[in-house]
Amino acid sequence: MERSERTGLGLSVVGHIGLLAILSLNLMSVRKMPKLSEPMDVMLVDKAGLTSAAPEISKEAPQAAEAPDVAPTIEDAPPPEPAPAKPQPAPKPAPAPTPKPAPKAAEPPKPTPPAAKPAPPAPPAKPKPKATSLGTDFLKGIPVDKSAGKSTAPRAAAISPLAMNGLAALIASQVKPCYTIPAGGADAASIVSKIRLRLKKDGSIAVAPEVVGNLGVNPANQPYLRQMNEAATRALQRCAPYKLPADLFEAWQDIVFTFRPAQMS
Amino acid sequence: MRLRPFRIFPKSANPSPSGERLGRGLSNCTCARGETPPPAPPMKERGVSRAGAILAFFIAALGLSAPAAAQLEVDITGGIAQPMPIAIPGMPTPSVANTPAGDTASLGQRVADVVTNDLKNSGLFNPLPKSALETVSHPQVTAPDYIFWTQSGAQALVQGFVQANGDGSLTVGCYLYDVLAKSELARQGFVVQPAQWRRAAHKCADTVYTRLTGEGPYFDSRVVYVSETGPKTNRTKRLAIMDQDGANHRFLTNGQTIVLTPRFAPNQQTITYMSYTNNRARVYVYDIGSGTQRLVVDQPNMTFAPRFSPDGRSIVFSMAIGGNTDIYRVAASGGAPQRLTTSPGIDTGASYSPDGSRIVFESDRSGTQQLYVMNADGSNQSRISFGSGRYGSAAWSPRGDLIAFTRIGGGFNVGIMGVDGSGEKILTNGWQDEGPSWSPNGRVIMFFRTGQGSGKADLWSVDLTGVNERPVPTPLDGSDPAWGPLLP
Repeated sequence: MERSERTGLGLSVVGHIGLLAILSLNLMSVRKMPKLSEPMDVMLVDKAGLTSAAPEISKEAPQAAEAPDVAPTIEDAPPPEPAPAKPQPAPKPAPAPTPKPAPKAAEPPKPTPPAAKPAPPAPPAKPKPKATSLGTDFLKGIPVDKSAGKSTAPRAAAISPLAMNGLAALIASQVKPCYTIPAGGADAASIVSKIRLRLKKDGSIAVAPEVVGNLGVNPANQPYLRQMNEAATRALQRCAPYKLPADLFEAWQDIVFTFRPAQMS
Repeated sequence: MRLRPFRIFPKSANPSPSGERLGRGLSNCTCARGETPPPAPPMKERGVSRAGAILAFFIAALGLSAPAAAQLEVDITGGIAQPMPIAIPGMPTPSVANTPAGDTASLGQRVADVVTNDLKNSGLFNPLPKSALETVSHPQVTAPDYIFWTQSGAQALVQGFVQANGDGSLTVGCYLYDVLAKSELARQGFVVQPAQWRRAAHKCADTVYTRLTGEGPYFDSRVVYVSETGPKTNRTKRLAIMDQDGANHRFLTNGQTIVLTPRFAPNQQTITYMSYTNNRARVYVYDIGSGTQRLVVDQPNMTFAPRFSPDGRSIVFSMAIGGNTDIYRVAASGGAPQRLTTSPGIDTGASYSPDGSRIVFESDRSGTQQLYVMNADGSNQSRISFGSGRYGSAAWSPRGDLIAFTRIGGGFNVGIMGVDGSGEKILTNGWQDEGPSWSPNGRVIMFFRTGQGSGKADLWSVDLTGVNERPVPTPLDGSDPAWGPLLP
């Protein structure tokens, strides 16, 4: 009996240890980590000037900036060599030769990347907005045709959060004068309207503004919801077309506006 | 009398572009949105390597999600509160026909004029001047010339037609378009007798106003008031009734006895008021149809400040007995009055809440004249006004959320406050502004303004913002306006 007791005891000890081991292993391995929400880029910026802070941009900028100067003198010379020499002396003489140098500058590089598909359409579109643009030609050093590939990496890098912020401020300044709403209405001004707007390259509306959401709606102001959304939609329609930097088209072709009428003037 | 609106050319309702996509694709994040992180690598079973895998996953996620195509988000904060530019061209007729109110072509222009005037007076619209309008042909009524109207600067367009029917009635069609979106927002048709063409115009203006502002309608309504004339010491006071815009004015009483504080019954066929008939101030009911008046409470005591309950079945009023004035209620058909207040001093100026459950009134029980609210049976009386000065002539908004009053401080001013006395706001600053009465939609207040020294009073209206204040035209002087409910 003793022996059987001992074996029994031993078995139970072994069994318990085994159980403990299994449980602790389970604890370690089986429990799934809760899915984390996507990381977001957060940048605290005030209304910044319309300049890009991205390092990639400053690297490329000199090339194009001095291209106009170089182009007339050296016709056939390979551009890469003079390029590094001039970045410093010619930082911003660009304003002087306004519309014409731009196409020229675009032409010399052409021979080298002729195969690039996006290159041909880009130049004609570019110079026009630039010539007429109201000082929005920031990032002017970077020729669009350079980024021949449509790969997302360089594009995304070219538009820094700072530039996005400046762009948002520019767009807001063009929409705000058109944003009028009827006065009064119990608490109507606390309705926030989110409207999606898709634009064409010429700054006109590609798809009619679309209400994508509202905040601040309560039983008292519910009767005014439709009208507040329409006031926001009307503002976007009235102020079109928008004058925006063509090089950043990818950034502003699809915009979500948040109209907060609460602070009425 | 009843005006029957109908839907012209029934058409499948356009789904509204707004309000239907709530909650879809809405992000509360105002910053750049990152790409979705790559799927997690397959997990191993062992705990130790598990931790490593998680770490690796985090590193991978961080590294991959950093440069991402961001959604551009733009905040528009604040805006400009200004009237909406709107175009209301003359309304064409399919074929010119003569009616007792004039030919249909000229009626079309007059209907447009009435609509223009209504919308302008609301303070929320800025109708384009006639010189900026183009003539609309009958086919264009349902197919607007958007190219022209876009250039005109108008954001909304009201078109319509006037047509004579075989039975002597008129059909007025009314269409509202969004000029920027190039879409139809509303359409409504009205069949009226020629003499009532203005009501069709008011209904059209109401259709436009409600669709574009979200407020209730109010243009198709009437006002009863006291028309005054003569020297300051011996004024002739007559009951008069008119449309909200001053048209169709007519006197109800001959002015031989002084009348005060007229109030509409909900059915608008009767008016209750105080009259000094036989040199006794007492409450009467006047029947518009028959032109007869009837004493409400046959007692020797002075009765005054009457007002109908929202269901029209009873009348609240004040009665002075031996220097003590209290509020009573009596069936509109007459009978024994029921006493609602019992405090010493003066309780008067009762006005029902729109659901009939409560009554606001004024009382000097605290020493000065202040506003109080009680249940309709007189229970649960509590003071709501605590500002400086005295408060009187309270009127409960038909929307139920506000009480208009006259505040007597340095002068007389009309103001509004919440039903609990919160959020007091003074709307007018004339020498002597008093006697507020609400528009049917609770958005505009009519009152009367007495000039300093002259003693001459005129009717005015002001909206809840206090910005849109304008005189209401009357042939003589006017006081004690009472705005009736929306006509059916």
